[in-house]
Amino acid sequence: MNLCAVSASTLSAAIKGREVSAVEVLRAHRERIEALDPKLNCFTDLTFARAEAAAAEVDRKIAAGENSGPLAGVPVAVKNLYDIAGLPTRAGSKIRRTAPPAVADAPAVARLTGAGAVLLGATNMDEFAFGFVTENAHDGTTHNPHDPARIAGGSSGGSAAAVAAGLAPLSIGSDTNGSIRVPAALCGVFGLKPTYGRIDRAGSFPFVDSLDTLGPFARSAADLALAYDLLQDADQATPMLEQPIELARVAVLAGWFEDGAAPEMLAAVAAVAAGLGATARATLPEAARARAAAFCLSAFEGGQLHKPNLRRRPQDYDPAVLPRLLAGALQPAETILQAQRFRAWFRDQAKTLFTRFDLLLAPATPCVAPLIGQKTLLLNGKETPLRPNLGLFTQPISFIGLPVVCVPVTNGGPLPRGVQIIAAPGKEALALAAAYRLEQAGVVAAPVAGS
Amino acid sequence: MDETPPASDETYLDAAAALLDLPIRPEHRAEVLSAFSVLMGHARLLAAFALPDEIEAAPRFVA
Repeated sequence: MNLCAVSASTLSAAIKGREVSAVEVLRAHRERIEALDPKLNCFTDLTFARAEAAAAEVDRKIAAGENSGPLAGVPVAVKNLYDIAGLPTRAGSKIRRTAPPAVADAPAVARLTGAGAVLLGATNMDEFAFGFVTENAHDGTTHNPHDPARIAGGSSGGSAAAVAAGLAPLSIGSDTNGSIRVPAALCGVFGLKPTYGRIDRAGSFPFVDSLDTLGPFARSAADLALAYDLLQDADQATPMLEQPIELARVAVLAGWFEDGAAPEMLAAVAAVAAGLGATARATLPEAARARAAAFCLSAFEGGQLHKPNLRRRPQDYDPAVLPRLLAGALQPAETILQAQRFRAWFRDQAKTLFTRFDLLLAPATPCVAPLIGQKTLLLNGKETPLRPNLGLFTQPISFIGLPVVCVPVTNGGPLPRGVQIIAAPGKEALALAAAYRLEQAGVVAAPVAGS
Repeated sequence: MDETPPASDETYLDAAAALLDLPIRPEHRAEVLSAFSVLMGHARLLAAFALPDEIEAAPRFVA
């Protein structure tokens, strides 16, 4: 068994079956991190001493016949905006790296380690989660494991790339405007952005209070469902993975979600639709304005959060982030009220659409992973700034809190392509079941990069 | 998106920065103005949409 290529569930079963020890699994991942991460730059903090103790404890429990948990001995990585006991929660920033160390793990981290997972460390991100590229001025760029000349996407780029590279089978990140879905798509792994409010955000550094969500990355739909089940109490997706999906109630989103997409991205959506047997098309009206509203609200709420430091130490921000936070904080109040009112209207449009459909399909990004440092993107034949536009198709969806599974579509060439499977609020289990079905059919898969 | 920010954007930005005591340092000014004009482009798109009067931003308190 290649310990760094198999799923979390497979690893946990092998450890519990005493085919391999948790300590050996940790060693294999540690060696892979030490070999590959100097180049990929997924991790900003490594917690190997803690991991050694945790892995040994898993092995002890198994030897003693005690309950070792559903993630027994599974190495995990967490975005560095989650509290990890003993580390400052840097959230990708210079400003917070001198913050007092967290006194406890964030509840989401504690839920995973409480289920037997072994924490490897914290991962790289765009500063304060305000970006889609993980080209961080303080901690460097995370490279895409499928092509190190390309970005991993962001803002949870380190967490997505770690899973894609086989440095961990499971990780967690956060998604405000696409920060799980964009890097999952560009790195070719499964990612879940749950319904707004579904997973407790305590112990994670905020960005936009009205949009922030936490969620997992994995290399299989079943692992993604398992992590989701462990991260909250209100829902259980694993027992529902084989639930039926009504083909007539799955639709491809037309209009905004097709207009700017590269042909290979549209082909990826078509492959997912065909894999589910879906032929319907649907329109989510005014998605461009929804995206615009999410853009303004994010910069505003983020800017307000950072006002004290924007006054005191603006020079310490990432130059790619500072102008957007400052400009965001200074927006007219009428923009913000209009954005909030528009959110209520747009939510009602989606609600109506969900009376006809259960699942909606759209590309996660307009293109495959861009080159590191790339400034522009060809959208509808027009050169457009790259950084703000990678979230073109994710922003309207998170704007109204919908749950999304981002699936990696196979057979499209050397670079991954991600498709969003979008569900009504609280219907994560259905989106995960669709991802599982597609994986069984070979339409989506997340092999370790280079394998 | 407009390449050249309208003069009103710059006037507003300076006034708001002064009013809210959120100064923009000279070395950051061009980038902040550029980011602000991008935001205002989005804001104008949003403002051009006539929302029905009954649409509210009010919170909903559900038991």
